[in-house]
Amino acid sequence: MEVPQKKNQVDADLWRGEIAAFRDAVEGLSGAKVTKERLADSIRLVNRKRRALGAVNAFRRLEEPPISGLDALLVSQAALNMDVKAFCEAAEALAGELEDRARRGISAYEAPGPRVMIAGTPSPMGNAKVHYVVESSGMRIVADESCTGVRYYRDLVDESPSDLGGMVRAVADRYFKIDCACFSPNKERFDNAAALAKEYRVQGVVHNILQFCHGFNVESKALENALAASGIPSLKIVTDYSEEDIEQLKVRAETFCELLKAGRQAAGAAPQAAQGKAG
Amino acid sequence: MSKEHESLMKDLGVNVELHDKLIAHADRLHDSTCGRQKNRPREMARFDAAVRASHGGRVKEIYEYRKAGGKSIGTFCIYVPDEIALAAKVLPIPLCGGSGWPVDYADKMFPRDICPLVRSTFGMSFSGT
Repeated sequence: MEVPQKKNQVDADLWRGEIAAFRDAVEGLSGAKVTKERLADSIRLVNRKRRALGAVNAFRRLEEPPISGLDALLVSQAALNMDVKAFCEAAEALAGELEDRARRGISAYEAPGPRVMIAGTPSPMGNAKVHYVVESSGMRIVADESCTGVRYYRDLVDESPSDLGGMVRAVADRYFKIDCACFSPNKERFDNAAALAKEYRVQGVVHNILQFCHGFNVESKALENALAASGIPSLKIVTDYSEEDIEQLKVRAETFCELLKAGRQAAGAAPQAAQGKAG
Repeated sequence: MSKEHESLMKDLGVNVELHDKLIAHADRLHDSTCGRQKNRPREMARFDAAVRASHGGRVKEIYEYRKAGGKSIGTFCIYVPDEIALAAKVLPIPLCGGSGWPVDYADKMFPRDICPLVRSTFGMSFSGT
């Protein structure tokens, strides 16, 4: 499928055409037509998966997150591997347990380190390297602005259309909202990232860039600047799947962690400093 | 690996010996990252199982689905509309690879300076794992 690189009307039309071609291709493969009834079922099913992911991740907003960043990543990775229904049941059961843990104030962490967000490229199953580096360096990952994070589950397909054409358009429009770095300009992504950082009370952002993913690599500077405008510092990590650089990355992550801790103290002292100036 | 699963793997053209190494690597990585945490929710057990199943039980599920005449497609990235595929009775299977182990096997076809996700996926294919 051809993914456009801009979000103008002409690009939306191209994308709807790609969805139509995809529909023809899968119908050709199976010999089964996309019917109104089956599409309504699949829209509800995939939305259920997104809602389950949203429900699990929402608990990370809490002061004491009942699930770690590493485990939240594992859930997102499993969403791409498991049978959809089995995944929904597992994620809904997990959300139930997290609610109980939240009520009892059980944290997934042993120490309350700085709250950070991961931004950028996906970490498919088998790769939790940057998450591991960040959390084993004393930080808590409370949000994932990535394709194995909020980019995968944030937007739902509108369930209100009742005619087949409207339903297919609703599917196309949902996927067109994805704020991948392949789009330019990509103000949507900056706005979404800033909102997510605010909602999850993030103190710093770790840009996790898979080597040679030029789109996210180039865009990370602009995102860093946009986040800096709201006082959120960034650490950019460009790496591959090898384990050779883990210790070096840990040194950088630990330094960033110290910086965030110092920043929190400075922020706590800020009102006094401001008073001093005024006096 | 059970005898039954081994014959399934052979039927799929999987290099069983290399595949065992891949599993050992994946298990070690998972145990040394997620597995090392102390205060995990109990319900994470199902997701731990999914890691192991992604090279075992899930493969069997898809194998049996296809043997019964079911159609499936491999997908990359998060732009493929699962809803449309499912409504046409086609099972979409995301292929994005996360394992570092097969990356070098991609050298057979691809330059070294492309994304490790792509190299991982095709490295699995080229190495028969």
